[in-house]
Amino acid sequence: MRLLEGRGLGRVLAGDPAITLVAEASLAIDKGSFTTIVGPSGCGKSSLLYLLGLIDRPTAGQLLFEGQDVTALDGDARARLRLTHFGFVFQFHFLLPEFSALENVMMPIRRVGRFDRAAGEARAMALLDATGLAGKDGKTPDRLSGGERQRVAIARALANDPDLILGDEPTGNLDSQNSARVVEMFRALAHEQNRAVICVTHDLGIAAASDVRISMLDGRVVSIERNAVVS
Amino acid sequence: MTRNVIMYSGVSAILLVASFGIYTAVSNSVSDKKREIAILRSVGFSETDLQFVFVVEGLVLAGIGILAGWLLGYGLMGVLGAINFPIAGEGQHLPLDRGFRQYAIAAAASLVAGILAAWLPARKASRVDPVDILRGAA
Repeated sequence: MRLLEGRGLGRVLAGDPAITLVAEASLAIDKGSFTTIVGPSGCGKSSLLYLLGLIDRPTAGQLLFEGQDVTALDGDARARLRLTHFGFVFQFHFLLPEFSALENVMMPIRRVGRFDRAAGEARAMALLDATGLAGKDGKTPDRLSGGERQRVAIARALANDPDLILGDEPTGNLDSQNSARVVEMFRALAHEQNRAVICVTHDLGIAAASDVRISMLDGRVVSIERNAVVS
Repeated sequence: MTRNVIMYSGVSAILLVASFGIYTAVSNSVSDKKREIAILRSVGFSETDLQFVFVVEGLVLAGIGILAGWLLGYGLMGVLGAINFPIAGEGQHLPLDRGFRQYAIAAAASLVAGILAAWLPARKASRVDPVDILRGAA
């Protein structure tokens, strides 16, 4: 089932000269799929991801989420959509340093307000357990390893049961063991929980483990390949 | 009447200086927390949510100031009220209005000043573009 669709997406930074970050990008993301965006540094991978994740606004084209045009939504509506339907994992874990792992995961849950405090805490604990962080809930990010921080970030991304998880080089700061663990989590989120996962990466091993590989060059999507089934 | 004008002028000047203090504190907080603001924005917190966070910070500062001001003011008025000024051989004391009304006016004025002083940097915080920060961190 189609979750997200970009039609001729473009992003140009105004200036003299204007800088084109993304040009005429058309792509579709289905539920239950793990998609990677690959290409050389500076080719516009992250810029495309920010457009797909409604963090940035396109200067051209159209973005549809579940068939609805979300291109022109105002800031608060975009924020609401991100909060309730999207989860983000960045290269740098981007956890709030003053708060414990549990509090970091609870923050988006509390903001949505779907659960009372106790139920929200139980959900956050369950997510930490599921990401292999049982017993680490009270630790602040500076007392966790790089791999653990990234797993907290993944737990936070899953906090509001998102349909779409977006990763911007989520394994870029991890060793091979932790990196493999994160990729396995992403694959499971897509294939076992029917979510869509989009991941920007330089790592061709991760790209090979994905279902769909989108290659970019100079701000343009140059190919979209469906990988053979990876067991 | 003249005495009230002088008093409120003095108090207003103090309030203005205190407001700049809150403005500076919240502005610095916004500058220090740009990364965290970007994180919250990307997670899905709205501009209104972030404005609320920093206005609350200003209110907390104003609240602490109000409590400290009440205590200091109470103590200072006790000291000033006890000073004896002998005029024409007769002991005189400073005329001090220590009624509840004065404390309430001071608190209300401080709260309003605190909200206004915090709102400007709070608005700035809510307009932080997360993309700029996320790109800068990469």
